[in-house]
Amino acid sequence: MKVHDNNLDDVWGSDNSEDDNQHQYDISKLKTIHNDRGYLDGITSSKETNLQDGFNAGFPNGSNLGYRVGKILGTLQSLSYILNNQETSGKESGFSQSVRQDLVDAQQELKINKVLIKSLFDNNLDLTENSHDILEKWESKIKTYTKYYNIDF
Amino acid sequence: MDEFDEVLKLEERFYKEGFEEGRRENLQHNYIEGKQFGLQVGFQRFILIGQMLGICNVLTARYSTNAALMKSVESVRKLIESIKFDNDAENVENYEVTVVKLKNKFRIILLALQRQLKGKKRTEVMNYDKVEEITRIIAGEVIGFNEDEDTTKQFLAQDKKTEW
Repeated sequence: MKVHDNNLDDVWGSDNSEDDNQHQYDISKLKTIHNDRGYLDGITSSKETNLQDGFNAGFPNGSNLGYRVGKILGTLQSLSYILNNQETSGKESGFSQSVRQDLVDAQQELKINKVLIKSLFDNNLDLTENSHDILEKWESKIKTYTKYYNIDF
Repeated sequence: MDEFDEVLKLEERFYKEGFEEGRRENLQHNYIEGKQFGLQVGFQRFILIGQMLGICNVLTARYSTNAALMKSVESVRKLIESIKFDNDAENVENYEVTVVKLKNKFRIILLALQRQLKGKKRTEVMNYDKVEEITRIIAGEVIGFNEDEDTTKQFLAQDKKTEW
């Protein structure tokens, strides 16, 4: 039992309890060692637990954002195609130009890595204040056309 | 109880505290990782649906007198309305089936649009490939999900991961 005795000495110090500081120090050392050991086991304990729950929670929000982005692009693409394949004059000529340019710009600005950016989401990966600046900018931009042509949006 | 037992009990308590803390952090980390992945996949899967609706809305405003075209547009609209935005198993299954139908109907719509524009000055043709080209641009460069195969399959069939 020599080994155990040594261990106890290491933890408790001398049994004379004349040195409380040493005692505290040893307890805290013991705590650190075993907390760390537990922590390591804990952090690797369930590799996949909760992944699916997280996935299911994020999916509808992602769907919604993708859908909104798609609507903007579908509107721009078809309107650009139609306006640029028919004779236009006056205000419509201006529109055919600007819609074409907007379509180019939107394809840059609404890419997945520009829409799903951490700065617009909180730590829990929810949209901050439930709003998305870039998307809202485009949605209001589109209204110039959808109002003029009486397009649902 | 002797001191040795006392120490063992303490060790066990400290270990358990550490374990609990590690486990909680691990679960939270997994949850957020899953959520990030879910956001990406949901986004990628619904771009095309939004594009189709956007196009239908423009066609309805411009060609409401073209009865054949409007009939196709209406059936596409109904199919889109039937799609649920979440990841429930049966809804994902419905999504898969519906998207195939949508793509077929949509090709027809775009052909009808080209007939509608016949005789007009034509600089480009907007066919189905042109629509999907934009879907791909928006969905981004996709990198394979870097967890093991089984984890990936656990989510969805066509998962893709992008950096963000």
